[in-house]
Parts: sequence; C-alpha cells; structure tokens
Amino acid sequence: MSPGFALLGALLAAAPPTSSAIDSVADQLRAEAMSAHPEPPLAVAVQSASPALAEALGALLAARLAESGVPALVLAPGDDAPARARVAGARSLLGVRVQVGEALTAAGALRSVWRNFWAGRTPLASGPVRVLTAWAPVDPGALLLAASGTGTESLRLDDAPLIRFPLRTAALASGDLDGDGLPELAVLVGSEVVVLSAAGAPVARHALGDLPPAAAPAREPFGTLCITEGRLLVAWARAEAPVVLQLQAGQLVRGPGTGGPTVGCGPTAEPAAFVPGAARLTLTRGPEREVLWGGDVRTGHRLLLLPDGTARWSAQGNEARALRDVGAGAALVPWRGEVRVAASSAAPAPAEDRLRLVGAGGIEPSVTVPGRILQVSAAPGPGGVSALVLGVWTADGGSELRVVRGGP
Amino acid sequence: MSGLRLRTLLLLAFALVALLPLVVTVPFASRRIEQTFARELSARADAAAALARAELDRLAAEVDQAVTACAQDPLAESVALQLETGVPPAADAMRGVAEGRQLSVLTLHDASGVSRSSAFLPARVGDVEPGLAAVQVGAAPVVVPVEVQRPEGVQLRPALVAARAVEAAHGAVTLVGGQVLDGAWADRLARLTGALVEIQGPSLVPESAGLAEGRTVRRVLPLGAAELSLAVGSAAVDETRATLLRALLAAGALGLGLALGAGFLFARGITRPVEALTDGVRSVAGGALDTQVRAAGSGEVRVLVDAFNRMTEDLGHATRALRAAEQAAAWEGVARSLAHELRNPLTPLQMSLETLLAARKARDPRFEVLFVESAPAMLEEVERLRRTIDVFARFARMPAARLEPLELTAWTEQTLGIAGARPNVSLRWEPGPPLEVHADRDQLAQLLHNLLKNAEEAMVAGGQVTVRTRAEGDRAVLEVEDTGPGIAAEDRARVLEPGVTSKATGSGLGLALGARIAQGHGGSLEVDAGATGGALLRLRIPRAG
Amino acid sequence: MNDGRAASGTPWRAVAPWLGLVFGIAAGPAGAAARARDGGTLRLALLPEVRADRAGETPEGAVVHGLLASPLCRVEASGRLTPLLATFQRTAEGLSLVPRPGARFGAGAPLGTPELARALARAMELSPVARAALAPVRDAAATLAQLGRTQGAVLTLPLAYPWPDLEVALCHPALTPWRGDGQGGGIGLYVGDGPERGKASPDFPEGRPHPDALVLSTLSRRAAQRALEGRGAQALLGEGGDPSAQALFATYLVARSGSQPLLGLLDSRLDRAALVRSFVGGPAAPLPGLLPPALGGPDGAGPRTAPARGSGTALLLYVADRRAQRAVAERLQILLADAGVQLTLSARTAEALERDWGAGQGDLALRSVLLPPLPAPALAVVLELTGDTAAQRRELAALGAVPDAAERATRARERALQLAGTLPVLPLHVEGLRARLDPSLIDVRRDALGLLVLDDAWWP
Repeated sequence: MSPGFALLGALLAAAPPTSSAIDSVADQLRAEAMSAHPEPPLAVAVQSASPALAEALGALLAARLAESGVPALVLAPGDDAPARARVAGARSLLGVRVQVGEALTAAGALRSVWRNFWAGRTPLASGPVRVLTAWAPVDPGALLLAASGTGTESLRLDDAPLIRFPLRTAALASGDLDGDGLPELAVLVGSEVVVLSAAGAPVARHALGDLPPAAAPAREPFGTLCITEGRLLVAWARAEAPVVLQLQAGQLVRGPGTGGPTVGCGPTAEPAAFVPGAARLTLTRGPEREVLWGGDVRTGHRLLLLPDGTARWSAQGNEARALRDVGAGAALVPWRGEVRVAASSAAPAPAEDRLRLVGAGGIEPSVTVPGRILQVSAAPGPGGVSALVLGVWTADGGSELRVVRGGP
Repeated sequence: MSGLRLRTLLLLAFALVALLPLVVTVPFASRRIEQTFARELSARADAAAALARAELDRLAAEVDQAVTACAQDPLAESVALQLETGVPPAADAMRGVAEGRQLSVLTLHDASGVSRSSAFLPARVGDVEPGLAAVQVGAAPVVVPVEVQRPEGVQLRPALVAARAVEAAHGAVTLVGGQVLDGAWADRLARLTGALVEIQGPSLVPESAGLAEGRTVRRVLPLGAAELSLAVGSAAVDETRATLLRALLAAGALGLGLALGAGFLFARGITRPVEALTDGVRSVAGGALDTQVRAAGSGEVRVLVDAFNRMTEDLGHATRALRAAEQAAAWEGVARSLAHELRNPLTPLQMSLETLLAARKARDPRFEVLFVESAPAMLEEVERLRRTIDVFARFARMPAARLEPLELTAWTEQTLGIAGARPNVSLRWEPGPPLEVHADRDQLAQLLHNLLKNAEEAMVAGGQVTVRTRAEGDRAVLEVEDTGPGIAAEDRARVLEPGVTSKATGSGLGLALGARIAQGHGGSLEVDAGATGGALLRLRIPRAG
Repeated sequence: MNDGRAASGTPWRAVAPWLGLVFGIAAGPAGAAARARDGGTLRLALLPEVRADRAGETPEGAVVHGLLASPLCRVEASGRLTPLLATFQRTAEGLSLVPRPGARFGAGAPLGTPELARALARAMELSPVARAALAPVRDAAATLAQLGRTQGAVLTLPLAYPWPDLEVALCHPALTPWRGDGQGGGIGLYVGDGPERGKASPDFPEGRPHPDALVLSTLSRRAAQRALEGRGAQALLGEGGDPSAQALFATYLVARSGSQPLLGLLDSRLDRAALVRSFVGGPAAPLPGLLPPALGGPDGAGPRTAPARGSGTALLLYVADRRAQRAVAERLQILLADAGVQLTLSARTAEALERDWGAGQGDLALRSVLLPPLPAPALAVVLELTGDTAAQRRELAALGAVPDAAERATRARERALQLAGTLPVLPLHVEGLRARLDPSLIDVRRDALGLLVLDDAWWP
C-alpha cells in the first residue's frame, strides 16, 4: 500500500468522519444512482488522479449504497471494468471520475453490465446509460486526499498551440536534425515537409508535390517521418517512393539513401510498407503481417496500433499486453524512468480527445486536448523526456501542434 | 276497246277506294301528330330541365357530404392545426384529402379569407380567392366562379362549392370544396338529358355539350354565378314525324298497290269475258258472223255470253241464209241485167238480120244497100254485146282486194293530178285530214276513175266535179259530187246494181263495180244528192288503226 | 470536421468532457476508430427530381454527380482552394491548368490537355455558368477548340482582361470534365459499375474513398425518410436542409427584350417572402437583388410600388422536373392573370430549356443556377443569363481590373445593386442544399458552394 493510503488511514482514524465534501458528493451520487433503480449487485469503480481520493470515495459510496439496500463492491478503475464487474458477479457498474479543482466534481455513468444472451461474443454496450453528476465545494479534507496522490502523475496542456497549419498533419517526428543538440520538429503536412525549432519557429520547408504519385493514393494524409543520424527519412503515402532530406544551410535538400515507411525510428526501427489506397501499414519483416495504424519501437519495447482501436505492447520479453481504447496517435514514451505508452482515445470523431499515459501500474495520468490527436512525439529534453508534442486535427479542418508537459 | 276501258275503270275504282280513306285521313293524322309532338317537345324540354335540376341537387348533396367529411378528416385537421400554431403548411397539403374524395375544388382558408392550402390551385396560397372566400360557412352548396389553372392560362369556371368549418380550428379555419362544372360534367348532363347543355356566365369560359337540331325549345336554370341552359331540338321529333308520315304513305302505297293488284286480278276476272264478248262483237262486225265466245264467267256474265253465243249462232244462220238469198238475188239481178243488156243489142241485130233475110228472100233490089247500111250497125251491136260481156266478165273476175296501208287524202290528190284535165269540166279538190286506210291501190284507182267518169258523163254540158275526203268517226270518206242532173231518189238504190245505167253508152256496171270494190274494202258506196242537186257518190271505208 | 453530427446543446456543455471520459471508462471499445474505417457501401437516397438532374445543375444533383465525376477543384468553406483534377499556375498570359498525373477516366484514358480543353468547350455549350466562368478567356470557344486538338503538358487559357477569380470560378461543378457515357464518363471517386452503382476508384488523385461502393436509390419522399431513419441510407438528397447554411442556388426570371415590361409588372405584385414560404419550401430565402445575401447582396425587400396592370400574352419556359419551379411558375401565372396578362406555361427538360431558350423560343424563362462563391463571378453568371455578352465583357473587364479581392467583391456588389433594375432579369429566390444525413456519418463537411463534401465520409 502506498504511503498515501497509510496517511489516509491515519487521517480517517484520527479525524472525525470524512470530508463533508466527499460525503456530500457520495450522497448525491448515491441518491441519483438509487433513483435509477440499478440492478444489484452494483460494482463501483472510481477514478481520480489521486488514488487516495478515489479509494475514499469508492469505499464511502459502496457503504452508502449498501445502506440503501443495494449491495455494492468496489473495483479498481480501468477499461476492462465492465468485464471485471461481470466476473465479480455484479450486474450494474457505476463508473465515476472525480476531480479536485475549484470544486470537488464527480461525474459517473451507471449502466448494466449484464451481457445480453443474444449478443454472443460481441461486447455490446447494452442497456440505457444513466449519467450522474455531483458537486461540492472543496474543503481541506478533500484537498488533502487529492494531494496525497503521487502528484507527479499529472499532465498539463499548454494553452497556446505551438503552430497552426491549414491542413491536416500526416506525420510528426522530433530529433536533432542539424546537430546543434536541440531537438527539431519535422511535420509532414499537405504535400510538404516543414521543419520547426523546438520553440515552434519554422526553419525550412520542402515540397513533395513533384514526386511521382503512388498508384493508389491514400485519402487520409499519412506517412512516416524519422529523424536519425542527422537525416530526415520521409515516407509519404501519396508518393511512390520515399525520400531522404537533409538540412543544409537552412534548406532541406534531397539526399542520398533510401528508406521507406518504418515503425519506430532509429536503429530499432522495423521496416514497413504502405497498404495501397489506405492510411495503413504492414510490417514487412517478422511473422506479424497484420494491418496497422502505426506503431513505435524502442529498445525492448514494441507498440503496434491495431485498426480496431486496440494496441499490443510487448515489453522486454514479457507477455504482450493488450491495451484498449488506443487511437492512432500513440507512441512509446520514456517517462520518469519507465517506458510508457502515450495514447489518444479511439473515439471516432471526438470534439475533444484525451491523452493518457499508460504504464505498468494502474494509474494513468491524462489530459484533455481539444480536437483529435493524430500524432504523439516525445521531445527529448534535459534529463529525459519531459514534454510530449501532439499533432492535433482541429474542427476547422486544419491542425496544430500542442505540447503536453508533466506536472505536479 | 270498251273492255279495256272497263278494266281501267275498275282499277281506278279500286284505287280510288284504296286511296280515298288515305287521302282523307293522312292530313288529319299529320296535323294531329304535329300537335302531339309539339306538346311532347315542350314536355321533353321540361323533363330535361327537371333532370338537370335533379342532377344538380344530387351533385350538391354529394359535395355537401364530401366537404363535411373532409372537414373532419384528420389530415385537414392537422393542416389546420399547423396554421394555428403558425407553421406554414405545404401549399398542396390538401391534395391528399381531395384525391380521396375526388373533389376538384378544395381549399383551406383562414379567418380573413386568405387561402392557406389548396388542392386545386396551390398557386393562390397567400391570396384571397375571390369566389371562394365569399361562400357562407355551413350553408347549402352554391355555384360560384373559381379560377382553374392550366398550362395555357387561368380561366374562370363555375363550380358548385360548399364551405365548412374545420373541426379542430375553433371556427377560424374554413374548408371550401366542391366540383367544377366543366366540359366533362356538361357532357354527362347532355348525355343524361339528351339536350344541348350550355353553361355561361359573366367572364366565365362558356361550356357547351350535346346537340339539338331542328327547331329548339329552351329552358334556362339560373345557378347563381352562371346560367345553365338546356335546349331540346325537334330534329328527332321531326324525323320521327317524317318517318311516321312516310310509313303512313308507304302503307298507303302498299295498300294501293295491293288494291290495284287485287283490283287488276278481279277486274280481269270480270273484264275478260266482257273483252271476249267485245272481241266477239267486233269480229261479228268484221264479218265473222258465227263467232263463239269462250269465256269463263259466272252469273250475269255467263248469261250474257250464252245469249251472245246463241245470238251469233242465229245470226250466222240468218246471215248465211241472207247471203245466200242475196247472192241469189244478186245473181238474179246480174242475170236480169245481163239478160237485159244482152237482149238490147240482140233485138236490133235480130231485126236487121230478119230484114236482110226477108230482102234476100224477096230478091229485093235494095238488098245490097240495105246490107251495107245495116252491117256496121250490126257490128256495133255485136261490139256492144262484147263490151257488155267484158264488163260482166270483169265483174265476175274481179280479184280480192290486196289491202295495203294508204293515206287516202294524199293518194287522192296524187291520183287527181294524174287524171288530167277534161274539157268543160273543172275539178275542185277539197282535201281533208290525212286518213290512213287499208286499200288496194289498183281497185281504188279504178273506183275513183269510174266515179269521175260517171260524173263527167253525167254532165253533158260541162260543169264542176268536186272531190273531197273527210273523216267520219272511224271511217274515211271520199266523195265525188257533180253538178249534173243528179239521180232521182227512187233510183239511188238501183243505181248500184249491175246493169242499170242511164247513159246511152256504158254497161251500167261501173257503179256496181265500185260498190263491189267498196265492199271488198270493208266499206260501202253510197249514192246521195249533192248540194246543187247533182249526184254525190260517197265511198266509206274503215280507217286503219 | 463534425458537421454531420448534431452539435451538443448548451445544458450539456459543462458535463460533456466528463461524459467523454466516462464513456471512455464505461463503454470500452465500441467498434470505434481514430483513423477512418475503409469498407462498406455508401447509400444515398435520392428523390426523383434529384435523379432527373443528370447534369448536376441543382445542388443535390451536383453532390451526386460530383461523386462520379469530380470537378477540377474545390473551394472549401474557409475559402481555400483544393485542387482535385488539375493544379493552377498563374502566368503572364493567363491561367495555366496542369492536369494531375493519375487523373484517369473510368476507361483508363488519362486526363490530358486536349481532353481537358474539349471538356471545357463542351461545358460552355451546355451551361451558362460555364460560359460565364470562361467569359474572360480571349475568344474562349475558338481557343478551346484549337487547344482540344493539340497535345501539351499544360493548358494555358489566355485572358482578354485580368480576372483573378478565375480559379475559383473553374471549381464549379458545371465545368466538370465529362466525356459522356460510353467513353468513361467522368473522373470521380466512384466509377460507374452499373445503373445507380459505383465502385471506389483506386487511383483518384486525392485517394480512394473510404466506402468500397456507392449505391444510389431513387425513392419517394416517405420511402427515402424511412430509409434514412432505418440506416438503409447514409444521406437523403432532395429534402431537409439547414436554413443557415450557404444558399447559392438562385432562381431568376429572365425575359426577352420585348417582354421586359412584364418583369416590372411582376415585381410590383410579387411578395418574395410569401413565395418562398408557400411555394418553394425547404432551405430557401427571398432574393431581392441580383446577388444572394450569402454573397453580400441585399436581403430585405425593397420599397414596394403600386401593383401595375398590363395586357397581352406571354410564354414561360420552366424545368418540368423541379417541383419548386413548377410551383413558382404557377404562382407567376396567377399573378400575371391578376394583372391582365395571359401567361402560358411550357415545361421542358433542363437541356431542352437551355436549347430552346437559346434558339429564341419563349418570352420568359425560369433559370436556376448555382452561383459561384464570389460576387464577381456570380455577377458574371447573372450577366450571362441576360444574353448580353457586350455588357458582360464591359462589367467583367472593369471588375477584373481591381486586384484586391475584398475591394473587387465590394465593387461587384455595388454594380449588382446598380444594374438591378436595368437588366431583363428578375431575381426570385435562392435555395440551399436540401439534404439530411445519418448522424453516424463522420468527416462530412460543406464546401463554399454549400454542397456536401462526401469525399472523406465514413462511419464506424
């Protein structure tokens, strides 16, 4: 158990009954849940940036529900919560997310997890979903619990985008192209490659429109970029052949060498090929031949993004782990010492997307990003990666680069 | 001939009997028919008007029921509701309601008479429809002018419409619907009533259907905004009347024909024996005195036929006896005449011969002179004898007349021309009309010659001979008149006998020959006195044809 | 990006972000995707009058036609020009069109410059919008005929006077390269695969569409609505529509010179708002001036004059298939009947109307055109409808001399206001696209003409 929990225990033992804010929220949630007549037993999964807060609210909510006559059990949050609830024997699931900001807000959804006999193997979201909300002004107890989380596991989105483009981005890469030790960003957008400094200032552009077109061009802007050994490897799904660019005297010029689309970048990159007419890749080497949205490879880790919105993360010879709800914008990110997967959501057309860091543990810091996240790139910084650059497709049909940083 | 006339008369009588009633009744009947048909025409016109009125009433009832049903139709109510809530309905939303009930006019008005949705004139939505807005809600259907829109233009036509308030609309929305009285309706009405239907009104498109020929009788039904006029023609009536008359006349003609036919057959039955009788009489008159009539008949006709046959039989006998007597008498006469004629020259001859014989016996010295003196006289007497015998021989030898057609007047003129002039005798020719006869030219010439010679011989001191021809009924008459002394009345009958002559010369057979020639021609020679006392000899022979 | 989906209402906005996350926890992967899913059949339900518009002159017809025969380029709602079949280069002489490599007709023949010139020439014969678009080209008909016989890498259109809006004008569906049936049709996202069917074209320069096949069904209004609601069709064209979206499909009443007084007669009696409300329906608005409100034209009714009277007869030509035109024609017949003029209506097909009006038949005609998205080319189209090429050349030369786009637009609007009463054209109403979409369609947007861009559409 984490030190946070120990602190919580002490607090609970010492102090009078819980924070009135948490109490109030739990009460509100309970009342709303009861009015929906959930089918017992009810499983409760609370997620929060602060695990202590989540546990406290979860336990309180379960107790209150049990008092009201609905037996409840507490589950750890996660994508597979409905499955776990089913396994645990619950018939309804109340998923709640609680956050402490100016106020203590909680929002949750109550749904039935009883699988329809006729649904067969298709995991349908069956039954109506009842949405519950609760709010209470923060009090010191809630703040304390909130702060007892690991703290550094939060993400913050910079307010202003780094740069805006009128078209949708196809690929994003970061690395040191000009050898000055500072990372540059390369973006494939429209029919040109744009290289920016880490601050977002354009450095050079190179047009690819004169390349012979592919026999079956893809509709979506798609390609791969890799900055390695001072060269920029560009593979564009609309062009027949890849091209290698080098930055010379402020200009991007085509250089020798061939490449091709790759999954990952650098020495560990795995060669791939475009699927004709689609924004997809297949690995050309190795036993797997499935169609991918993309992927990332680092030493010891391989992430493959599958078109059904899941991902396969194989780490250091361990069993491959299946991740759910991973969108096209995902990458392997060394984060505070461990390799994590930074993943966007797989929602089809979200007005706002969510970036979360999936790690070995269950806690996943996340941040909301307006628009749809298409690319994620880890910008190397002093002492490892401290910021992520996102390529985001905005509602007006253009795109922008945004930066997400870790924070307390 | 009279038989034919009788038949014709009978036929005419039959025909008259057949025709007379017809002639009497047809004008009467025709007048009566005309009166009846005139009444009937008027009655038909009234009936047509009544039918039209009934049809209009039926249509009005239909319209009333249909529009009331429409006003309660949920579709109409929903459209009205849309209006109330301010939602503009589709301009032709009412089309579904109208089609189901086959109304050619259907509009939804709001309280101010503005059309809001229309099945037949969606282009008027938003305007006040002039004719329809004024229709009183809930009243009986009336005829108003409505606009009918076609690609060729907008026309005003009369329509029978009714207005009802729509149920869910609290009286603020009215539904006006009905039927346009268009060409198709006029056609139907025309077929129904058999009249010429005309619908007219101020600024309306006139509509007409059907036809009425001949004289027409008209009835007018005022419809409000329009006028419905029905005209019934007498053409059919006239034709019927003509057909009737024709039938009457045909019947009459048929009757007449039958009557004539029957009459003909009947008459023939009667007239045939009469004709036979007539023929018999004619043949008797022509000389076949023992004609027997074979004819069927009954009753009086039979009696008549038998009497005739008996009569002709008797006549035949009598005529034969008479002829025999006549012949005997004629031979007697001829013999007497011959004897007389022969005796006359024989006596002087005998005397001369006796004288001569006596003189020779007495050895008279005057014997030579006597013989020379008396020899010519004796030769003359012998000559006279021979002449007489010639005449008699010629008389006996006269051949039968070879009759051929002849035009008497022309022939007489011609013959007179050939005859030539004679001294002291003037010839006067009085021609008559052309007279066709059957005559032997030679014999007739001989006859005429004889007559002329006789006349000339009678006028020893000269004079005038008048020849004339004329017609007398069915006889042709040729007269020769002289201005001589004439023939005494008591001698007139004997003059025609052979041998009688008052002339010093001649055998006295000329006129007898003439008489015989006339007889051979079927005619006769008559002796009469002329105007001046001279002799008038008249040849009468039958005319041809 | 997400025009197809209904926007969230205000009460939900505070909770929406949470809901997204909550659904993320609770719902799990529900067949979602962040990249577009390929496959499936795009089914469009069309009303009969849309299917009858084979040439793509109405907005709905243009959307359908555009899937099987793409125009040269597209102007997005933001004003940016996306090249589809050709790219443009401005040269000293005029404008050069470079056919994109990979643009192939259905039968495999590439789009070379002769085919492009011939297609433009053919478009000029058939559509007044095409003629107006190519009006600034010097001696357009002869030049295109000559260019249609010569091979080259680039098709250069020499201009008689500068005309900066030419690229935007060339993106109109009326200038779609089309070779007629039997020769490969057009170059589109879908290749015709039978009557009312299409197969995704693998080598379209902008990439193959996400659905594999296209099916067009002509249905009655009710059947089409049922199909849309029952997910049998992803889009319904011919009904519905967003009144706030771009309305550029303008209908004008054009008169020959002898019948121009009739226009004044009608103008004094016409209530455009009532006309739109009762007779046009759908996403339509009155058109008081020559240019629609979407291009800056006036949107209020001008001062009304007293209703005038006239006499005589006239013949009006209109397109038989379009319900709105028929209703408007009947309304005009009634209005003129009230004014004492007998109007005869004569229905034609769209090609027959263009041909017969050009041949001199009829006194009045209802012309509906999809105007280009800028005021100056739109004014060129209106002048083309009048048939007065000299006046058109004068006005366009004057406008083309203005290099700045905003000033040119303002000048065009002013000229439109000044010319309004003098031209033998009476503007009636303007309509937007009539379409309804399945909410599950993703990545459907509108272009500057108000047309649906279904190129990127897909569904999860």
